[in-house]
Amino acid sequence: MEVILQSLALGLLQGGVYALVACGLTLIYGVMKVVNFAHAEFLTLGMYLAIAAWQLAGVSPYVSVVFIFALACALGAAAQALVIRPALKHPQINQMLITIGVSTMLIGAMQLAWGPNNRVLNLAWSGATFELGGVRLSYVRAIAFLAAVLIAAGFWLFLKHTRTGMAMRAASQNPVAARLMGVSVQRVNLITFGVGTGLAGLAGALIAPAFFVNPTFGTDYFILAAFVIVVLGTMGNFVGALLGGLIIGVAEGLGGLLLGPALRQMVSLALFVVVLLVLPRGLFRGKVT
Amino acid sequence: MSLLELERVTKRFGGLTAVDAVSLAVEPGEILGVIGPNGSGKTTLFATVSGFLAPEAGAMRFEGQSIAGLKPSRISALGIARTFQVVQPFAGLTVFDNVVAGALRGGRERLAPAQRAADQVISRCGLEAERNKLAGALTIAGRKRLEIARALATRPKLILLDEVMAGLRPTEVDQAIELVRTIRASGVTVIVVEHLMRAVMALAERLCVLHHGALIAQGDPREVIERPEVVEAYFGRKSAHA
Amino acid sequence: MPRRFLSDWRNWQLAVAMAFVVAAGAAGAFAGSDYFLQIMVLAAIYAAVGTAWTISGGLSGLLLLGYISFFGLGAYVDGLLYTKFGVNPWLCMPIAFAAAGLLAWLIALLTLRFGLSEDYFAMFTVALSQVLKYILLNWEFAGRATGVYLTVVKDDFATLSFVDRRPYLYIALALLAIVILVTWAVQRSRLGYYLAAVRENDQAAEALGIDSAKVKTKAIVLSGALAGMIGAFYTQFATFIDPKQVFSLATNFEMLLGPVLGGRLSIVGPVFGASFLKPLQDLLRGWLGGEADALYLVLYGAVLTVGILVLPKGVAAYVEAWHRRRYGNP
Repeated sequence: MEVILQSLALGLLQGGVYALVACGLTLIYGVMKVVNFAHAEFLTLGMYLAIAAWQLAGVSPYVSVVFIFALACALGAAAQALVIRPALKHPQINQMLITIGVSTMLIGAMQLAWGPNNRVLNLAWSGATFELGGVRLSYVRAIAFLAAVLIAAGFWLFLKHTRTGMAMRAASQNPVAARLMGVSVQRVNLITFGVGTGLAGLAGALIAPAFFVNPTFGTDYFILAAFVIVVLGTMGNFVGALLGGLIIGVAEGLGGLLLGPALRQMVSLALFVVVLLVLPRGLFRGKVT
Repeated sequence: MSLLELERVTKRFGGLTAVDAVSLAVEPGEILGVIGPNGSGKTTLFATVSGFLAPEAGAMRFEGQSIAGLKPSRISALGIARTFQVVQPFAGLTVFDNVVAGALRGGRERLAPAQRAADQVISRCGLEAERNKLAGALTIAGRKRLEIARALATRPKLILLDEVMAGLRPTEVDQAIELVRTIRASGVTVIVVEHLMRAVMALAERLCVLHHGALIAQGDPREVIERPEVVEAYFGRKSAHA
Repeated sequence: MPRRFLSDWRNWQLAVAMAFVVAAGAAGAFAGSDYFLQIMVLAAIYAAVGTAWTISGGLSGLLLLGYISFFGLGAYVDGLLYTKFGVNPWLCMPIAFAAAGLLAWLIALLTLRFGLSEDYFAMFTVALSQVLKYILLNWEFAGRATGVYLTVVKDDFATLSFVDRRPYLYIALALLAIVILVTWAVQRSRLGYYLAAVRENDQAAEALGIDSAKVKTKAIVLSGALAGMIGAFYTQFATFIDPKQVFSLATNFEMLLGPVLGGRLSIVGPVFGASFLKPLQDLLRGWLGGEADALYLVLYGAVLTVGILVLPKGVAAYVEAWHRRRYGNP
């Protein structure tokens, strides 16, 4: 029983992290209808940058996260302006392959900068845990989980109540009409892609203390789970992405418990396959809310 | 036996009843006109008859056989062809290939005969000059003619023409009217949905009027358009009793 | 070659592609080193896979993005049947063809029944390839992470095992020729018309009596089956299967580079695309060496990105335009 609870708790926290990564992905797809295959690389980049900040300047990731967010935003926006925007007129597969090209370039760049081997950010309290209700939780993962919830909530408010947020929603539902109403779809796309990838970088900074990172970390570890969440939450729905992330995290955790660690990753994939078939509209209907 | 029989056909979208218990019969060889203000359900009716939408209630029979719930490709195979209100050409294919796609009749024709048949239809519809052009490069008039040619190539018994005159210049309208007449002359029954009164009056032998999804009048064209309920549907209450 | 035959773009492509295959065979006969022969065989394999993909991915616009699922399945079918049950590899190829075809049929059935949209269908196939990877990574019988190993002692045509690389090249080219012929035949057939119609406008095609679900299924099954057959051959050539490799997403996208940059609506596109890109890739990788693998990735990613931006329809689109002018088709 206790083992199950522990598993559940761990799964929830992990799910929070997944959700954090998925938020950006779902935003980009929701507004631009582009499946960003390079998303995981921004996550990895965020981790590397956090490690660099710590090792070179002794800055804690929880401080550098702000700068990393900004940096990732800028990089994403640049990618959007240079590479994604011209591709929006092209067929779907071209867009996908272009993001794959960007992904490959980023992996190569990170490998050039930091080598192919594992690196880690070792904070004094990296492995520290605390107890809550009989379950042992890691600080790092708990913080990431909280961040995920806060960000999801924050974004939901942003999209609902700010002008930029409304512009984003308008552009996602009907770009032509939005343009006619004076919304600069170009600007919206730039912001969307930038913020989306920024969120991935931010997530990376937050989880850096908890994982070993290598250039393909993002792709190996998170990308498919992220896609599952995005579909579970329907592409574009933040709250859905959050809840989807939690569901995935728990499912993986329990799956790992029942089937063994080797098959853990298969759980999210199998779930993905099932969800795509049964709920192509996701569990939570609707666009970017 | 009528060629097409609709009995209280109803199509709803959530709370909106787009087609409201429409009953009508189409006789072989006639040109039936369907008119009505915007949003009266004309295109929805076509979409339902051709299988793109499933009716919530009512019966639809073609040559005595029920067609409700059949897939569009099946209904096409039975002999009903349609054009789309917003033209749907195969833009990346040539005019010729577009028509051949129709002439293959869903597999009932082999390729060579279909290609020959396509050329014949292209001549009939006056598209010879555009034969090898990409459909996406045609003018609106050309695309409308292509739409008809493609549907004709399936050798239908009944053809549903959805606003084929929209966007055409007066001379082009005349040509289209002539084309519809030759289509009927070749033995195909025609249902025309039109906004352009000139075309409707020139072609229709019988006229149906839809309003808010319901059939409010049918009969002789000249007589039907004078009826108060029809005038009211188009122009409002005051005009009807002016 | 009669001008009338060549004035049809598809026939012209067939002629050019076949001429290329023959030329490649001749070049192989005189090639010196095993290294180059190896590269050529892989290029031929990529060309065949890329061309087979266009039947669904190009002609019908069905994004079999996770195409490697079929290739990997075929590889394992051959590997396991041959090493565990002694089934003759020449027989394994048609079996792999059938097995991959069956998988493709299931995919088509499921996704068409559930009405998956384009994006989701693409992602589904990608996810499926990784599910297969994990299944085989953890399956005792299939050797788990170690995979499957073949031993080749001497040249033996009967069991499709050779020490010399040359016979592999000839067989690979023969497979490529088969795929080219099949693709050409489909394009010129009624099925080709249906696929083009469905690709251009699903609804309009239905209104003409074309059953789009049936037609799409045929395309997917044919595409998948051919990939499986080539995968089976690959095992015989490589003499080992690494599950992480034969279901690798990186390899998957590399295989799609040929058709996408070459021109996915064409026959020549994938053939020349793969024949140019794959050797370039291998040579670049070899030349830059182990450490510069990172640099290779950056360059490769850049080529992919820029290439697609600059040539959205692939090189073949320009060739086709030239062909139109040359043969007087407006």
